[in-house]
Amino acid sequence: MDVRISVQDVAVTQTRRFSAVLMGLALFAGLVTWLLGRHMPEERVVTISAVTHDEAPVGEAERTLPRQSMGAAIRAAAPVVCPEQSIAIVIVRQSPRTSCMGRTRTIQNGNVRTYRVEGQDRDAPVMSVEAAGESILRARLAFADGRTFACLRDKCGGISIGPHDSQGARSVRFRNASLANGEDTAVVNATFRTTPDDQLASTTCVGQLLTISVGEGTVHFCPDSGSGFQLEDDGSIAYRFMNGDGNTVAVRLGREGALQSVEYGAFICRSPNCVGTSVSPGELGERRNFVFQGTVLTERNAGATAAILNGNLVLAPQ
Amino acid sequence: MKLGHWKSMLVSGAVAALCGVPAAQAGWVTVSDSGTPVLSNCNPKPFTTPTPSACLLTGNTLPIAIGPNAILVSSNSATIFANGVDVGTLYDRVYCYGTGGVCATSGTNFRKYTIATRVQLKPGAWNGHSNESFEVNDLIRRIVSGVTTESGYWMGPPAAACGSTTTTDPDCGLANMKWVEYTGKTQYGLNDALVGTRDNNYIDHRNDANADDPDGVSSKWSAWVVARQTCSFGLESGQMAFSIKLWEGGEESQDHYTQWMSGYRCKTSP
Repeated sequence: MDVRISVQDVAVTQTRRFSAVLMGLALFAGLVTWLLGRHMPEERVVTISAVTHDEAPVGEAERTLPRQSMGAAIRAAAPVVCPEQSIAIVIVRQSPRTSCMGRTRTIQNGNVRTYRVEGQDRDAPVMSVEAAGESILRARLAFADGRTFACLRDKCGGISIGPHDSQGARSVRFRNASLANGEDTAVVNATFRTTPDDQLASTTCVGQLLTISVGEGTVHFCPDSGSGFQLEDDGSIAYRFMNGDGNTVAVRLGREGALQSVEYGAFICRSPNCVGTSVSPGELGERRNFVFQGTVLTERNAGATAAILNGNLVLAPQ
Repeated sequence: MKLGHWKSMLVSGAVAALCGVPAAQAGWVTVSDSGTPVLSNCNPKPFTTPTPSACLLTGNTLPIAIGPNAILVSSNSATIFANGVDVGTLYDRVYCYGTGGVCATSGTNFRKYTIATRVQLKPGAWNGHSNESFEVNDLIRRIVSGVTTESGYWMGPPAAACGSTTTTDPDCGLANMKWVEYTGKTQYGLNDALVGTRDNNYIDHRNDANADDPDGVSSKWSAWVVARQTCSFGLESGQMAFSIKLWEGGEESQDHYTQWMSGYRCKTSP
């Protein structure tokens, strides 16, 4: 009995010890897992949350992920919080990754704008997009290890330049955009906010400032891609001002100098409805000042949106 | 351009360029549409004096040089941003031909246009990795293919008529001993792997504008380079993107660099 009791006690004691060891191991394993999770490289703490945050539909990239990777991604799906911007990249046969990116730099080259966004850590890629107005000419994703993925013109589906927001910034959007490197493809989802136009203003804009309000958006219009005039066949003169986006404000005067119309993209007013517009006198080719005080332009196709112009433009001496 | 090449012609060249354009007959050349050579000689380096008349247009004003009866119909000036840096200004003009300030509505001058282009460049670094200033070795612009094209250049007015290498006025600016070297239908400039390859959609004027040229002779002004064509459907309204290509070909080992700019262009359909 004692022996049995003793055996039972020993068994109980051993069981308790075993349980304690197991519990200790479990706790240790948990601690290790937690520590590994904290220090896991960013690219392994991946995309699902970032893609969801970006409101992009689940695309081909996610569907082509190996199941194991998707599972790992979901299990490890702690949201990546970036102080500025982020990019989600999926490359087949590799773990998807989200990288934190810095602010968008806008570089003007003639009638081409380059939007460049650099990663905020050593392994993060650099994305650059070249656009003429809203037409994408090229996108290039370069990694620190030298790999480069790119697309040209009509192969850059899924990349777009959005409208101006209320602060005058635009967005460069990637929606499951495919960039190629030989047989490999990088699928990118991101939204990069550009620098507001008024912060890009060059010395060209000294002495002239025009804001154009279209719906919720505001364009800080600087004619740093040129200004000039053109005699039309009907004898009218069109004064045109072009900004770095390739958009044009055109003011048309009649043969006798009377205002005929003001145009901005799809918007136009025709005299006498161009209220608030005045033009300083001057001969052809001389410096002239064009003032807009709440001039309202309406859509050519009779849409409901209006463009409201406030400020001035100066024709540079020709 | 090697410095040694300049020595033989500096004195006479300087007199010619700074004190007035050499008295030569107007020198429009009709550039070829097929075969070789693609490029016609204007004043190839090493420059010779007196300046060859080929391509060289003379007169106190641009309309006189490209005339007679030239009428300005379009003009545009634009800052040249290269790598985001203001490296100069591009001037782009279109002239028609007519009388009384009205373009011809019939006859041989109907819808005949001269498109004129020049740059004024700034000294100073721009590319982020050297102190060299921006150089334009080729002024290349879009034209209508399949249409006879006359080509030429005007250095600027003589000093007696406001000509100056330092002015900021595009009508008085005088290119400082930087004559146009070649012209022809190509979009591939100096030291380009495809240099001189025919492309009838473009006309090239080879020159050497640089406000701080390592070759020792700087000219912030290029010549006014001009091309004359009949545009059957008239002109496009306003400036069109990718109409003008400014090419830096690394004459003194600078970067190879293309700068596309907007410019006037003929319509190619009604």
